[in-house]
Parts: sequence; C-alpha cells; structure tokens
Amino acid sequence: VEAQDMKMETLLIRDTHFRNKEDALESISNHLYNMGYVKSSFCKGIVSREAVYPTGLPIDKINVAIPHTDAEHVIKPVMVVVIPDHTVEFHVMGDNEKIVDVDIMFVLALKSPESQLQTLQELMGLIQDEDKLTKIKSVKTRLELKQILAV
Amino acid sequence: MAGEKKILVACGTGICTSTMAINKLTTALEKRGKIKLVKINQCKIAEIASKASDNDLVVATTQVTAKIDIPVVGGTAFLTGIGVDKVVDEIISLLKI
Repeated sequence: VEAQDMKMETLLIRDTHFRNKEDALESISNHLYNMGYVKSSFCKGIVSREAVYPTGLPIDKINVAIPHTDAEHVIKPVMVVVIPDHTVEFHVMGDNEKIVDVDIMFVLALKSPESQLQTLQELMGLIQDEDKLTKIKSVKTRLELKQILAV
Repeated sequence: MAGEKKILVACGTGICTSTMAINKLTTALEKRGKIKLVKINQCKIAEIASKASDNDLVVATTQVTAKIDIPVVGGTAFLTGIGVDKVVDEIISLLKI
C-alpha cells in the first residue's frame, strides 16, 4: 500500500438542493465521475445498493447517511461530505421499514478496508460525536472540514 | 486458540460498515477481557449463507434475509455508538464466553 492510499481525499458539497436520495446520489456520482474518482458504473451501484442495504443512521439532533458501493466501481478512493440545503429522507441501516431525515451524507468511494481504515475510523469517531457533526454542518470550506476531521 | 468462538461481521459490501463495526467490536471485547476468546471474520451479506457454518454468530449492519442456523445480532449500534453495551452483552451471552 502506497502512502497516498492510506489517507483518502475529502471533498465538500454543500447547500445543494436534492429532490430525494436518488437525485442526491446520482448528482454526487456524476460529480465524482467527472472528476475521475469513480467509473460510470458507480452511480447505478450506489443507488441500487442504497435501495437494498440502506445507510441512514439516526443519531439524535443531526442524522447522517453513509452511502457507498462495491470497490470495483472506484478508481481513486474519496470521501464526499454532502450538506444539502434541506434534509433528505433515507431508509435506516439494518431496518428498511424506518425512515430518517438526513442532515449530512458521507458518501464513500472505497477500494479496500485496509488502506482506508484511518478514514473509516475518523468517520466513526465523527458519527459518534455530536459536537463535531454540528461543526461540520456549518463548515464552509474544504480546509475547515479537514481541520475538524483531523482533530 | 482452538476453542475460540467465531464472529462473522457482515455488511452490504464487506468493506465499509463491517470494517467500522469490527473496529468498535474489537475495542469493546478488549475492554471486557473477551477478545482472546473470539476470532472475527468479515464478509459481504450475500456470502453469509455459505459462511455461516464456519462461524458461531453473525453481526450484520444490514437486514439479514438468508436463512441461517446461527444467531444474528444487529450491528448498527457499533456505528452510531448508541446502545453498544447492550449489543456486546448480547453477543457475549449468545456465545457463552
């Protein structure tokens, strides 16, 4: 594993309007495809996987979703932090009957768990830290975002 | 160790939320002094039917529709941090460790 693989790149998309989660995932996938992070198949992969294995996580005041798909659709690993202009409905992970209004999406394009373990660990720390989530919700730039992620 | 119990941690892709859950589960079992009594395996949810017979318990971050004859425990608590102790209690009790 090369050093650059150990830490994924992080992108920020905010204040975007999405009609629903499919619209959000398609729009984000197209963005990642245009930037060379993922293959064209990533979009179908992430939308269909979200439908079968939902990733909404009800936390408390701020709810999150962590949409992702198989490694075969990924060219270069990246995490996109997406803060929509208003909440987007996701089904709840492990409980497809329930719906959660999501404030922040962490869209993951992963290639292997080993090389991205650090980012996954950071993301877990983040999901379980409401103060950090609150800060992320109001973050304006990628630099600000990186500073919060690094703490 | 020969007598160790095997926990199969599964998610949709087998690389994302299962990795996150294993991370937290390992820490929790270490705290309880139980980590040496188990071996943790990882797979895609689609593979659990074929891998269940080699394991003693499944922790899944997705719904499990496959019919398997070992206990299944929901693993989303390891991601949200909400209710982790209860799930770890359940795992320890089901594995009788």
